[in-house]
Amino acid sequence: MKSVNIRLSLLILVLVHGAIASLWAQEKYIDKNGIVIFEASEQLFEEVKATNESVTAILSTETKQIASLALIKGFHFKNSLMEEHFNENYIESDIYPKAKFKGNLIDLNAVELDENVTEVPVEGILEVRGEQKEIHTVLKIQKIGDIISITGEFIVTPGDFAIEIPKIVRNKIAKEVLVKLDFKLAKK
Amino acid sequence: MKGKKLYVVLAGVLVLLILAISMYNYIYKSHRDIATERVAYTISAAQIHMDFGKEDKMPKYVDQVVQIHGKITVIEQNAIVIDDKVQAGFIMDAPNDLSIADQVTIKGRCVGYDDLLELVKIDQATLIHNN
Repeated sequence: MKSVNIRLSLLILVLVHGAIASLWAQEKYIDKNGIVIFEASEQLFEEVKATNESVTAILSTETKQIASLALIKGFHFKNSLMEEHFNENYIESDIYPKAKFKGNLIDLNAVELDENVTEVPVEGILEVRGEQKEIHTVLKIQKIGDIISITGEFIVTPGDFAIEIPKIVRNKIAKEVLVKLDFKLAKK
Repeated sequence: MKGKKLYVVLAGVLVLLILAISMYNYIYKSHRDIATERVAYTISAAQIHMDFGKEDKMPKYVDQVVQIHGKITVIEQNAIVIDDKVQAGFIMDAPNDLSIADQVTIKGRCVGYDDLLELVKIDQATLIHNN
């Protein structure tokens, strides 16, 4: 009878442990105020640069998946006319209000993250204006306390998203657009 | 005759000057000042969140100045979340006399709907009322 009791309690222990482990594994890290900057400036011409400081990013350390969403209208330019043209003529933000990214951090080992910067490759799909573009880049990741910091950059072109730049401004906007991101994700 | 020519030249210069100034103002017009703009919609956090669920009502709030009231559920460095439905980003850091569960009213620009977090996002917010 005693050994049955021990077995039973062992079983319960294993089950409880399993349940806790799976809860742990479902941990998510979220940033509601992530920063995304893109720049397509040409030398000698006015800066073509916009910043969005309320980008959402969600990282699941279990599935190693990252999802991010930026509202197009949240991008701010120094020049308000440029911002207007960006929204109305280039991205058509009334029709396509969001930019979305979904990706996999293949080599992410969440347990090993610490204050030292780890470089983790990411591959995923960026969707802007309903057009999808495959993105491959390397993210710099570090963990300070309960915050995971992710920074990185990649290059896209207006053509990737079927954005046509009018001839009159073509030499004032770079062919390649550098996108930088800076997320500070807190445990949820 | 000479005097007439001078007038023509002067008028030409004046026209050019006005053109240049209006061009400059068009290209470098100032940004919207949301804090002083008139409020287009006054609505509760729960209501605007619900309206964003209805596709047809959604666009009417985007890019408009909205005044939103509700209870603070999250406080971050430069943003608050109201009733877990609306995220408001302040122009500067969030006022530091705010605390969780405060009833607040904020004014800001509606940026759109974030379907990852299921939040309506507001930026350039200012605090109107806190008690």
